[in-house]
Amino acid sequence: MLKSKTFVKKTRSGGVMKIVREHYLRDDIWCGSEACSGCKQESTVLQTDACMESSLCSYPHYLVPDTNVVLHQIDVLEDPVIRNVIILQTVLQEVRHRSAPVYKRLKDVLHEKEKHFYTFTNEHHRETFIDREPGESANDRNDRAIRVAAKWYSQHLKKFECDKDGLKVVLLTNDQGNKQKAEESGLLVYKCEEYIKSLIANPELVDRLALSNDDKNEIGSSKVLFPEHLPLSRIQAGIKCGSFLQGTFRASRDNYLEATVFVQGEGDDSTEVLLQGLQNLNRAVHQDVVAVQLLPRSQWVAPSSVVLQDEGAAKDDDVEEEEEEKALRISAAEAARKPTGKVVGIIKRNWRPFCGMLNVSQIKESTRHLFTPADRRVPRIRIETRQASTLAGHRIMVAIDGWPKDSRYPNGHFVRSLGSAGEKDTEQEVLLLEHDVPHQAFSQAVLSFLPKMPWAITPEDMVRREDLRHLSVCSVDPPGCTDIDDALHCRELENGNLEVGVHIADVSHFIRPSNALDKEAASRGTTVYLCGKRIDMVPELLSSNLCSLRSNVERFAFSCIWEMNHKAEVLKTRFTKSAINSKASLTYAEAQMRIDDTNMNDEITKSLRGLNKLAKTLKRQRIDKGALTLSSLEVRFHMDSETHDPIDLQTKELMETNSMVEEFMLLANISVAQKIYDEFSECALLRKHPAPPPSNYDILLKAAKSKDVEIHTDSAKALADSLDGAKVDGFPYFNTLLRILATRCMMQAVYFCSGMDSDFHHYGLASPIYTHFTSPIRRYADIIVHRLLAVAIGADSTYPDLMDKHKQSALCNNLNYRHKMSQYAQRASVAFHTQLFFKSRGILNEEGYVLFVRKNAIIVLIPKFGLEGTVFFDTKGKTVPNLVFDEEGPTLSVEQHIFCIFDKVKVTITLDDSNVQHQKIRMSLIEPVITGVSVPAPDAEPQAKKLKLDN
Amino acid sequence: MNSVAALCLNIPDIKRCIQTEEDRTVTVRTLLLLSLWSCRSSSPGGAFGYVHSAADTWGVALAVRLPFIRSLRKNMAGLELLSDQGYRLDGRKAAELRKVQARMGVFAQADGSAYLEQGNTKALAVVYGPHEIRGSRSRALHDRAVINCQYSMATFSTAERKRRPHGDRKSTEMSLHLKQTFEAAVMTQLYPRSQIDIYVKILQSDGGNYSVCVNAATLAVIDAGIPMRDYVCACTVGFVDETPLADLCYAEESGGVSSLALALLPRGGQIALLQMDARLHQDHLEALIEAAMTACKGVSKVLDEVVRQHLQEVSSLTGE
Repeated sequence: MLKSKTFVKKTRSGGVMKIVREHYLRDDIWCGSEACSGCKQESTVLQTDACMESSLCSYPHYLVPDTNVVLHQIDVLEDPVIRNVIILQTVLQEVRHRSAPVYKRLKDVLHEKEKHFYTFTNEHHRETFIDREPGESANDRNDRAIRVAAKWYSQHLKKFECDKDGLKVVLLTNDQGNKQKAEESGLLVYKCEEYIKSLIANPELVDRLALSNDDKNEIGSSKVLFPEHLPLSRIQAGIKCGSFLQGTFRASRDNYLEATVFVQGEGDDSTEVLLQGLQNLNRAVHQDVVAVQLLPRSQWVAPSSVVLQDEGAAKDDDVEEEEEEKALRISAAEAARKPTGKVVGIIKRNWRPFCGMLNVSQIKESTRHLFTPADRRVPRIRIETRQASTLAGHRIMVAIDGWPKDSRYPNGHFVRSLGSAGEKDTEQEVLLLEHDVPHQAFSQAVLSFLPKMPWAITPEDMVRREDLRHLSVCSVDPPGCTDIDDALHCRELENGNLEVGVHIADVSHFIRPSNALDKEAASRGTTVYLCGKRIDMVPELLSSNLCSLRSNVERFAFSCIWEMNHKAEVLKTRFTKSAINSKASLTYAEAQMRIDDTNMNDEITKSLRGLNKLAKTLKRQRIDKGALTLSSLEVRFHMDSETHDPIDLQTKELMETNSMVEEFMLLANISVAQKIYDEFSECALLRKHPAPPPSNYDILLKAAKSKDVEIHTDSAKALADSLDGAKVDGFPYFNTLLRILATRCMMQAVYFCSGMDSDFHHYGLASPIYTHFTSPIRRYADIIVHRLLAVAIGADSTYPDLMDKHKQSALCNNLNYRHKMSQYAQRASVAFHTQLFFKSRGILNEEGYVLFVRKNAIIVLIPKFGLEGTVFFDTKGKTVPNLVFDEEGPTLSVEQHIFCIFDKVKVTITLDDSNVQHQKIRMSLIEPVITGVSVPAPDAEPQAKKLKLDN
Repeated sequence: MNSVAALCLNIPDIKRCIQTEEDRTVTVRTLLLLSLWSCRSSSPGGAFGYVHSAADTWGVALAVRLPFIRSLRKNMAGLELLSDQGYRLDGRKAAELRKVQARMGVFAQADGSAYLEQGNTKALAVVYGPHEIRGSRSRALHDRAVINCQYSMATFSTAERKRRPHGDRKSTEMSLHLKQTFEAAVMTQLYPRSQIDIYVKILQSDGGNYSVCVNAATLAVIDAGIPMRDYVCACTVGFVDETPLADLCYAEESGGVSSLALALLPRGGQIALLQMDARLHQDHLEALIEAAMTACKGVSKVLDEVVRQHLQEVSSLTGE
């Protein structure tokens, strides 16, 4: 079993330690080429017919990129056009060492079968291993190793190729010295740019080339604009001795010349350092980790309230710039001044590809253009492209390559086009990318873990499961729901008590721990619902078929079964894995109809009535305990069935059956939370909702006071009670508005691991413990909870990560992040569809209520559409009316009229599409009439349009 | 003695003895060891009884061991222990051992001696005896020989030069393990009231110190002409990416791998010692033990060859 191996010692000395490692060289590492007759390999990766249409290499060839080519040009390598590439182990290791994201992308490419990328373990091959020579740097040695391996390949292929059609190996490198040496040793070698440009059939690849540093045609003038960044060693020394601070750079959304650096201190004492002016920002980009140096106290400034957008043509002369900067330095009151500093160095860049649009240069033939990212906090990026005319008006993605000190803008390269701006698909893609929602199709590796179809329940499956197929179980969901993850039943027992069962799709049966499918689901965290689109967390086969508890098919479920008396008191709780056969999938409305229709008396209807009765009792009990009923307006779009354009907007209606299902889900979640916490006190995944700090309620209290209503916020119960009692005569909408305000005061509920926290309380539900168990198809947290529960009842085995509270806690962080981002994405999607709606509707006049009062604006809520908008009183280019803001009220008096919270106003709604990237709903005041501020009500024209649409 | 099989454990017995923790991972804290002595002192019964008695008898040993239980270390170093192509850090495949080289009879004045290299781990083993009990006679056993083991590491054996006084806890523990291993293998009942000394020194350390010591000492015992039931071969295995890795080197051992050391009497397939400090899911244990046994059998083949070659050399020297 021991092969005879040449035995070489590799000595690596660094610092003090001398480490000796063995290094075995082998004869059984194959070349991976289909054309080779000499290697005894079982499967091959590289094709014989490796043709890429290149004007430089007309023969079939394999590519061997060096490390820098992989690191910088991964965008190009990922393109489906580039195939048959040999990635040497030397390169792979260097990439791993230098950039984790690129390494991950490279690995993904290596796994893709169609790409024909082969990893050659050259460092362990007897003929390609080389020792480091005295005086040779590690980099030089690696370059030489790459050349030796490429040389070996070309000789090997020449020797063993079966049909001689001149298969060759082409080395790609950007390093001049390396290229020269390779040419000397008789290798075919090209610069990456040269080679990509020679691919005649695919000219679009050229734009994806990243600009390398040694490029001669450097963009930008030779004038140095920015101070040099300090080397990392000096930064570290500076941070250690306290002269520099380390923090995350956060650019301001409204002012491109301003940013803050959030410095995390020990414990709670973290500070924010203000940065102002291009010089001080010193090429930092939003989200970078930077080192800042504080300026002397005399130079401290206050954050400006000016809105400044970096607009217009590229600014290369900085006259204009200076003026803008001057505008910032309005001397502020001493008190308003904040610690101010400047960036001295970048510790870690956090660049990702950015979405945005191209500003086409005015010069027609120019290939350099500015790119404006959708995120205003990211600076504009200069890219080089020959297809500017086709890209204009498109949403595109651009990656930053670098920001030299003599360039006003960072340099980047085009990654891909998402489609033309304003189109639904494009905008959807943009908002998914900007909210970091993973939405690519599932990879082959992930799909390989799906069960084979046709799938059926086998007797082996039933050994560990309880057979509940005879029960009359049904599901109640919103219309059009295909991922049904819960079903219910209720029946009377012989002893007069009721048996209630909540059956949840058994997703953890199909998704086994730590396989690719599980990892993908864990990283996605949640299914994201956009208007008219769903981004699944698990592949569709599971989400809409095998896991979905559809009617009249047999499905696996995880059941939570209670025995209750008629007072809805739980007498017994039992959890079991089961098989069920749902008898009906109903919508909320259908279920409601069955309950109300006295003529129907079948099993399902009876069971629904029983559930409904219990739910009412449960809800009352819960509210008595102090659970909050809050309100937020949710809207539903009526979509045109063909164009998928929104044709009507409606606020969601809530029925009794909604709350029926909700009650039982809450009960199941609480029961499960208790069970898993009892069983695993250290590693149960729970959900908590912290009580908001008292100051959060200020706005609510003030608002209520203005209508002479008193709100108590001492406890959840007091709040719930006082909200119930808050009524104003002749203002029926007041209570809803108040609840909307109360919702805004709340904290975000979060997942956490029980071993890492001591406060478990769920404020909103007034429950001492809570978790998520009932939606495993669309939330990953539920899958973990399922696994924990399965272990607790002995239905499944555990795995180490499940019991590791640190890993659990890291997972919770990801889930919380994904959850937050998915909510933002959802909101952005609603906002976009609202815009589409108003675009088709033209101008509308609507009544609304003032929700907040700001210094220069009021925020108006229009109940009919659930739409919120801002009415500004200081629009650019208009004379600003006399504004007086009173913080106590809060009230804002405009000329002679005073605005308070809850005032009824009439506004006209229009779509402002002057900025294609940031379309906005604009509202302007019609009533009350204030001269110089309000506008006359426009009419007639929208009516006609409306009629047409209604037909 | 009835049979060797009665003394040594097989896998199902071991699994019965391992306690599973709340989270269904196992930690083999207890050493499963066998010796004539512990067998005798235990009540007649299954292997289960033996293990318990071994633990009782070696209560001291356990107390010494516990502080050394390695905490769960994450793979912080960030070394890729097993590449996608199936190669390990040093170019071996998962089941391949390091190169084993050995020489017997390296010292003339001792009764038996051997030098063994397993990759970069190098050990020297010397055996004296069987001879009369030295020191206090009360240690003598009336029906078999006492085995006395001493393990030490050379000051220059690791990357960092370090003074290693005799009798530190680590080497006391290791000495104890060696003693237990050899009590199971050497036919001590042939030499009542006598003593066998085994001294092992690690000259260079690169992972798997225990197994290299056992392998070297086996050769030394054979060189001394002391009868054994079989070779005792030892090997470590680690568990990475659902794959057992045989014969870990230092970089792998320190990379946070759950590793297991196993000493085997290869012909009968009996386990003389099993030790695991890290946590491992019980489902994987069997696969890991299987891999370790295969690796030990591989070692035994090499040792057998060394012994045969040594015999040939000796016999040609003596002109037979």
